[in-house]
Amino acid sequence: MIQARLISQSQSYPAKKGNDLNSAQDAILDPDTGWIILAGFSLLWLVLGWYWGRKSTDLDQFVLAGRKVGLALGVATAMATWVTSNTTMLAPQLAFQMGIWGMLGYSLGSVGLLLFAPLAGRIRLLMPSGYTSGDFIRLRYGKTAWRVFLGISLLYCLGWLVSMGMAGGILINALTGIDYLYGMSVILSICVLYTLLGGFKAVIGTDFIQAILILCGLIIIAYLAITKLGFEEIHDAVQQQRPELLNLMMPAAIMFLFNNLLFGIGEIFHSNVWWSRAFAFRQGVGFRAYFLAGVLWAPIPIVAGFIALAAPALGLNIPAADMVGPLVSAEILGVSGAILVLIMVFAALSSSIDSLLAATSILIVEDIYRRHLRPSASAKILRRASTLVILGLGILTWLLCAPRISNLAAVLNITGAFVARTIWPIAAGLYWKSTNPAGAITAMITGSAIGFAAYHLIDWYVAALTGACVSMLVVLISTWLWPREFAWDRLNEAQPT
Amino acid sequence: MMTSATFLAVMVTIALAITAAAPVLLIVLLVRDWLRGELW
Repeated sequence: MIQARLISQSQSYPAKKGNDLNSAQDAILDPDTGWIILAGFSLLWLVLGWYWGRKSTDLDQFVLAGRKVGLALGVATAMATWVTSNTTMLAPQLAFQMGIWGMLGYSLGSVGLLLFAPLAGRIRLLMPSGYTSGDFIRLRYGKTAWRVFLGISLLYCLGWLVSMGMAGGILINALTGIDYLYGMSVILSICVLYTLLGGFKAVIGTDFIQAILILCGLIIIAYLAITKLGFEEIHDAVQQQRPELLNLMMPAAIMFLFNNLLFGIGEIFHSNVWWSRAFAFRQGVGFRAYFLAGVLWAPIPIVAGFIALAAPALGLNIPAADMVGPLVSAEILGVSGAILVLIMVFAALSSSIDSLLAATSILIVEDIYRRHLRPSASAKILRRASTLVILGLGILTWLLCAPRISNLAAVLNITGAFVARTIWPIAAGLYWKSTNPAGAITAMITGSAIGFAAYHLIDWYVAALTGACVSMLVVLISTWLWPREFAWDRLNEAQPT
Repeated sequence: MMTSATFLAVMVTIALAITAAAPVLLIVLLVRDWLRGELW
């Protein structure tokens, strides 16, 4: 999830005791070790991408893994995609800045996965041959709503993709000292290449390995922190040096919690990253896969956040809050801890970037190319177009990442209001026959406008909350006052031949 | 209202236990799906 990044700050937290990791400019690993790790994992993803993609010749195989993904891969891909670099890097930062509520608030990101579980089952049932979230909006609410939805959805996907590419360059630079441009270029090009080679199977297959790597790394670091220091010592040190982190009445953190919850739900409900998985999962798998992924994802930010709380007990001087996770890991495990963090970050970034490339490319191919430009395009042409779009998206993302845009976080923050406005039109559209197109369009537009105004007039933490509330009221009132029957079988469209 | 060390320990232990169970569960499910021919 990306929203939590938006409160990222580069604050300095002097510790009571000094240590040698006291400069933001000091990388934890040397560049040579960094290059060896990056090269090793890049090669692994490429070989696996090629191997799994050998038979992905037709459109459905390439973009949706043949629509037969089982439970194990389904759970792992949902988990790995939702564990972005933020969950491994920013959950510790949030715990370090907002304490217990920061950990719990980030953990509430799992509610999006849990609530999407029943929707995933219904999406697969109602749209057995669907490709994108855009398909649903177009068929359910008509072309105007579809275009409004597409605009923000594509902008959001691209923003997320660029933020992940930038995060890759920044984190690799911070961890290894490898130049930002090189690190960003490596991670982007590797993800583009293996997605091109293997399509959605490569995305889902590597997600499984990446999920296991992230989970194992986290378990090792947290377990060693507990055995080395113990809960009592960690708690006492936090209480002495940063008592506010243990306060359950921290207002800013409580507001963050609700905003994060709604942003997470909006992010999952609207994004084709999650819809494409619902289409790709075998019949009957969607609900169980998303539900289990939500349950298994929820404790990850708590464990990752707890690692940060060990910083005062270790006497670490934290030069920048966003480096607290790697610094604690390096202090506990030495060089092997830093290597572990680099592997986790690389896995987390790859799992999100490949998913975004695949989901955004099919959104462009299906909703822009096929539905706007070439309605008669065959499956073969669309398959070829997917390859070109993945490549083009990779190049565009690289071009946007290269200058290292500093206000990207602000852009993404604003989209909080936009994505949260889609929660009700989508949920109501999937379950209520009587929700009408005019109500859905009005809900999306007014939700965005008022959420955007709240962002500027009040603060970032109310944008998603306001957008979601306004959108909910419009959908509920318009459905009640002007019901319009919809035939569910209209969602079952013929596939391209 | 301050969090006690016990509360922190219980919360983190439960979270860590679930996180530790996750890779095991994923591998068990993977083997089960593979044996049933339902991997993908």
